[in-house]
Amino acid sequence: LTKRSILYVEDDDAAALLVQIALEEFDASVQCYRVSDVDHALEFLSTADGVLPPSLILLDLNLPRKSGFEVLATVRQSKSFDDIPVVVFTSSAALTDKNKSLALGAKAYIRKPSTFDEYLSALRDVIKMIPEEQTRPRES
Amino acid sequence: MAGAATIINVDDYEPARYARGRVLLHAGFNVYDAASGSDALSLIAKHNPDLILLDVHLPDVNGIEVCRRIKSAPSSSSVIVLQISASATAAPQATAALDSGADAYLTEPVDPEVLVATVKALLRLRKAERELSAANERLRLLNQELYRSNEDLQQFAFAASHDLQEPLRTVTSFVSLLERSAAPKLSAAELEYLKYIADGSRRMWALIDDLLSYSQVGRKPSAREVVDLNTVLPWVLENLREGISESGADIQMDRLPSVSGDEAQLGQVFQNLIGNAIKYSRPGTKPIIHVSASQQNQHWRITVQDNGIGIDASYLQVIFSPFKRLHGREIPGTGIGLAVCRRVIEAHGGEIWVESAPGRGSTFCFTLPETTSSADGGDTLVAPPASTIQEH
Repeated sequence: LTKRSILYVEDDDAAALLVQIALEEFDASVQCYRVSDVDHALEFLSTADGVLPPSLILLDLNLPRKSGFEVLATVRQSKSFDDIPVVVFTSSAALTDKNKSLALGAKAYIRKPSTFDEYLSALRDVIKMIPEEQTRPRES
Repeated sequence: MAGAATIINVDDYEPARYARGRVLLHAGFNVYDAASGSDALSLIAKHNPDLILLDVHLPDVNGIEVCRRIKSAPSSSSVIVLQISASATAAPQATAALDSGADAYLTEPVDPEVLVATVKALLRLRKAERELSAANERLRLLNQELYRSNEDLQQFAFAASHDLQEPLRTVTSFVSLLERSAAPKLSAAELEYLKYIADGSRRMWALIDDLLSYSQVGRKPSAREVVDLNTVLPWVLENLREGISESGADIQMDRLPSVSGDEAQLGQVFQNLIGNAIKYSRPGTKPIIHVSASQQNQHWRITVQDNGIGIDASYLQVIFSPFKRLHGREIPGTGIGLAVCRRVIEAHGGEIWVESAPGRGSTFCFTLPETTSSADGGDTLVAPPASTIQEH
């Protein structure tokens, strides 16, 4: 059985903590790995390649140095990760960001909530998007 | 003689040149004499005169050609050219001179006083022109400055609301978390305090969020593409799903045209108008909202009609201003929705207004220019069958 896990790319500690708490309230069995910038996210994915890929990537867009779009583009172009759903989780209400995310292959675009209840319902939606099982065998 | 106008007096016939020179000197002008076209041109370059009194028949370069050269060189084009001739007195010759750029044409014999008065009149005219163009230039600079400060202000509103949002989101989120987790340990009074913090921060967040969307509408140059409004309404209704199902609103939608504009912004207009129609419905009455379109002089007129509480005549204008609200906290909102609508519609070259009376419902109307391209369906709007979308 593969353990379900989320790679969460987020530079804001407050948002990360809220996601962690909301996630634990829902489903403590989902492991959440948090990294705070694009480079660490890509590093995590490359070391996890074929070994421990996350079941879903939760992605902030406004990150230091590089934007979250880079993670999205890299994941979609990679042969090893292209079946991992990416959910964009951002404070941006701009429709251009939403359209760009979906065009780059994001599974969903969720605007960061402003209350804890909304965090709960956002995380409930995110958990629903975690694939039940690996859809294809991984090459080693 | 400071301030006196400078005149180049050109004639190859010396007695005439001398006589005119005397007259002009006597009238208080600075006068330089030239006996040929080339002399005249070099004196112009040297003295930067206000006016040239120019004989038509010159030994080297013809006076009409001299005039053409003066008027075509940027450095001398503002010099007034007064052509004068004792021999070329026929109408076609005067016409040719004026057509080549001369400001006036006199034929000899000219009374000395008329000569001076003509020169003065032409100088007056030039002075008025200069003042006008200086005023125009000042106006242009002021306008530029106004544009820039308006840009700055919009940029500021955007940056401020954008940057304020993030920390406030942290506050509102953790306050709500605290409300949940700390509630059992707090006294009734403490819970009330916490509730005030939560309400206040949430309200501030909503205001800033709206300010952000309002400043974004003005800041972002809206895309220009052909937008079929019939495809916009479904996602608008999807966004409003909760409100529609809670109120049981009956939304009737006629066939709508295709227009040129920004799909997201136009969708926002419909969302705000239909959202308002639901929000301001009469208690106990099912909202019935009718979206329709008609064509009138190169414009589409789109209406969103409701059977809600209506608006008092004295408020029909102010409701389109930002943060203007007619209701207290009993109906939530920040008062930015209609301001956004107005901004979007005006940016699309249209107008927005409302026809309403208390208790009689409201009809919000806006116009959008017709698309010039003969794109899909929109131009051939025939007997629209009303489709009804109803959710329970």
